[in-house]
Amino acid sequence: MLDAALQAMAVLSDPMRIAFLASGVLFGLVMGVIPGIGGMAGMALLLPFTYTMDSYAAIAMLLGMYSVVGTSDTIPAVLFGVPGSGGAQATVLDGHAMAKKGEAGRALASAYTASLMGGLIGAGLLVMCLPILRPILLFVGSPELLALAIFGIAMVATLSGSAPIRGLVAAGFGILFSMIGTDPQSGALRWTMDTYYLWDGLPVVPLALGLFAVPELADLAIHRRAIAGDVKVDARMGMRQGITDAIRNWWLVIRSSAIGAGVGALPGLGSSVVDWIAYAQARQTEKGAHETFGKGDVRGVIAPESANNAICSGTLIPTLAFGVPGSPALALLLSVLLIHGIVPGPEMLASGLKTTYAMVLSIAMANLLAAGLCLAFSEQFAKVASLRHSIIVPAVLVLVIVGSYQASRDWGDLFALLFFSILGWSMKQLRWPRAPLILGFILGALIERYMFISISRFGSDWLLRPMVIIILCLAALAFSVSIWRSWQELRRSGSGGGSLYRIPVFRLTDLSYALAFGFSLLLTAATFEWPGPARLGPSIVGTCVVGLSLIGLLSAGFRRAALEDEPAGKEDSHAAALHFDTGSFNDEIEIRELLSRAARFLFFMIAFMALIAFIGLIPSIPIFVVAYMWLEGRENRGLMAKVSILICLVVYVIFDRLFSIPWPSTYIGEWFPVLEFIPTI
Amino acid sequence: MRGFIAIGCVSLLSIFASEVSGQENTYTAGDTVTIFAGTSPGGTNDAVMRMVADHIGKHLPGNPSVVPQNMPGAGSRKLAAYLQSRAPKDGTEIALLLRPIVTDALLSGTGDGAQFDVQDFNWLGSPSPVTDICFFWEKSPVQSFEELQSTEMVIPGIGADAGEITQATILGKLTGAKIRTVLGFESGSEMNLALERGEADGRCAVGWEAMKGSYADWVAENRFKPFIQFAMERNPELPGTPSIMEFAKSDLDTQALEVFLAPQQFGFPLAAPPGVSPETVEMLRTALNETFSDPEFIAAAEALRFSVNPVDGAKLTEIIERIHSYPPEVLERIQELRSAN
Repeated sequence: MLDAALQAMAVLSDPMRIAFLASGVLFGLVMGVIPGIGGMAGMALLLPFTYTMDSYAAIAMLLGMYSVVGTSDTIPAVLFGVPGSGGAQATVLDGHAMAKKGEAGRALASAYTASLMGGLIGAGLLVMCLPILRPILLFVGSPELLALAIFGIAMVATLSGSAPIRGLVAAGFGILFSMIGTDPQSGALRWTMDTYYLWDGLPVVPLALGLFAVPELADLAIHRRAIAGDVKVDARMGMRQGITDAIRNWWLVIRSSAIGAGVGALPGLGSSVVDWIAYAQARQTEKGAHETFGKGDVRGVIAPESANNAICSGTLIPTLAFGVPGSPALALLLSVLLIHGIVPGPEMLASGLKTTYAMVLSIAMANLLAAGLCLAFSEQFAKVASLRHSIIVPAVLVLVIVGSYQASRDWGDLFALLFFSILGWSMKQLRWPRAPLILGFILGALIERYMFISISRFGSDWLLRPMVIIILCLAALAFSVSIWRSWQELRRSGSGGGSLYRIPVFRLTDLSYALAFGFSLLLTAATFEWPGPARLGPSIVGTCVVGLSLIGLLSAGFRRAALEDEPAGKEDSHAAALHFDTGSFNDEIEIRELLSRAARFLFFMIAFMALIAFIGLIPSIPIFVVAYMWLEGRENRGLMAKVSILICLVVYVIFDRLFSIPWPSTYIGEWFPVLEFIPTI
Repeated sequence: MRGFIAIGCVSLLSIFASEVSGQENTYTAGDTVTIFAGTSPGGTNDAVMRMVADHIGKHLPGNPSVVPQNMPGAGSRKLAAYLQSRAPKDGTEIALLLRPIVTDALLSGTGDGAQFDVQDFNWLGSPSPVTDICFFWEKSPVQSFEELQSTEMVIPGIGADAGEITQATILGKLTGAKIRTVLGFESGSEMNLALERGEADGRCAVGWEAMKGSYADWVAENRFKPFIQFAMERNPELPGTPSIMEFAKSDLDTQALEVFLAPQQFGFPLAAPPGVSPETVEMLRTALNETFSDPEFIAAAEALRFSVNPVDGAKLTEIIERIHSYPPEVLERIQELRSAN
């Protein structure tokens, strides 16, 4: 065994192979930074180049790219609240909050260090566990995966702060959204509104970007501030602090990495969920986390970041042990392995051991290189936090829109983005937690599938399997502990049993519950026409959401009535307890002004999309950027020209030339086909 | 000033002229041909598309550059709809469609609602047909066709209208075999994992070629045993396995099965949009045939363990015409065989 390890080291120390590794790393870092693009697109791009390469170099380059996406996706997550890829969603919560406090440098540095540690730990775990994992994984069947997905949903309660009902309603909607598309059991089309677009379901990228990224941009525009506000950004000190933060919380890093590697090793759970699980786990177990998470606690960055780097090694386990790709990007890696004659299976631990160790080493080296590069440029990145909104908003909005379009290369992506942007912003203003929605979305589809497989194959015996029992008990425990904690907080803020005897007092903001009630009723009603198996899951969940929204509406009214009799201080602490996940700015703007500025932002977004429909993306970019910079910030002409040309070039080079994205047809392209030589028309 | 206007007019005119001059049978330097696959990257269909994209360029007159591209969605229906109405008709875009689409309209009865018509497409050819098999896994309690008449076997499936369940149903109706499908799996590799975990006894609707390629060790170690093949006739590599056609009880059954098996004959079909000129179609077909016999292409295919048995574009068109010419009783019969009741 040691022999193979030494051989692998020798093989990889060839300078040519190291060069390929480095180029893979650079490529992966860029892929991670651009929102909407992740490991999958990177693999697809690099794949053709590897066919003629030496197999170790090919593996080094591909794994180099794959393992560092989780390092650089933090950058837009922290700075703009835009997750660079699926694994950075949870990082947005505390990372972006830290950036707003002027601690962007600290957040980034702690994230890189945590990513590095996570990546190395994951690689180490891979080496140690590979021999024993194959037999273990054979015991993890669909019932166990179902139990784990249920466990994931139980985390929802943790992520809902003191508003468990809103969290559950949001999660319920997430699950309902995940059921859009063709039902595998019956082939029925569920809520697809007669489009091919929704046939395969809602893609997660426009949902995630709309829910998390656009509301942040909108708030920057509305409050007319830079990300870090007026706080001075001292990048270098932040860097040192960030690194020590990560090292000091080493036990958290190890736990989160273990979760990351463990979840990754189970084919079928998906990597978008691992950062949420790590985040929720940290929030539940770390001291004082309940109060500080969501407002800029560095541990809320460290946990998800170590997990989402460790997961890369984890996903290799089913890939190498069974040939079942642990993530969609690895499906491509598998084809490369096959071309080079490397067959996944028990051989990987016997005759193929050298290759296996070479892979592990590639991951480790890639992580080291990536962390080094990111730290070196971290100061520059942190300075972005002090740029004005009139520069940041148009630039990032363009990238968000293009990134969303990448999802299925369809206008539907942009409509979905618009819908979820409006939803996300409203949820943010009305203090509804958004994390449960995306968690419900990711896990909902899995729960339905595994539920059908487990029951169909094992009947009700699936509940009697030992691992299932353990996991479900843990889930129940996690759920009840969180609910109990929230209940305690509510009691402290004065809503006792006496409230039921008062007349409920409603405010306009309770309209959100009414809307949730109405919308879920609509969705559930639509299910009645579907065949039995298609209807089962959605109608159960839909009915629960209808019920919960009603309860939420009534309880809000009654509680407010009770509070109005209490001394004034209690209402503030109650409101503060509900503050989780919003991290809003402290300057008060009148509601009317807020709404009018929000409408203005929405108008800009819609106008930009309409412009794209007419004259194509690349011609629209300078018009939009200039219009925004002029109307919102009265920037000088030179700056406007520079920024718009820069963004244009970035989009053109990366998306048009490199990815050859088939752009949608435009009106002007149809009226004057001669103009089609201009890219994107 | 007038000089500029003159130059401007001439350039505009020449641009118009080249647009209007109609289809050329060769590509000029700098032209790009795009090949679309109706799936996301990864998987056999995508790999085949990329192989063709890598090698067809030098067989096209004018040697244009060829770009592989993915347009996944609704089992390649989205790509088919694009091909029908929006793809340019000058031979610069062709598509590799997923084979079930060949009988999609016929069998699902979408009729007027469909956004594409496979009879309109210009079929160019396919690198290989596919032989679907059903097999017993080594750990299955049932190990022979005879036992299947009395003891049930469990197979995994993706969804309600996917191959696994329809093949199992047809098999049940024509041979009395008892097969139960558990739906909800997402991919072939997930289903193979279910086999190893003991969650399933075997599989249906698996390409024999795919198993040979990606699971060669299973073949070598005899870990699975095919017991029926879904093909027009027995694949020479599986001489001992009966084909479903042998269980047809009448001419009506034979024709109905032929409709059902049309996608297998297509394998990995490439098509050009409707409205492309016959000369261009001929040029594309010839280029494709040359690519399939190109030793470099064959070598690349072998590296992926894919054997090349080309099917001509004319043959594909002929199959389509034939299955669409059958009387309605044939469609009724295949629907009857496919449906669960």
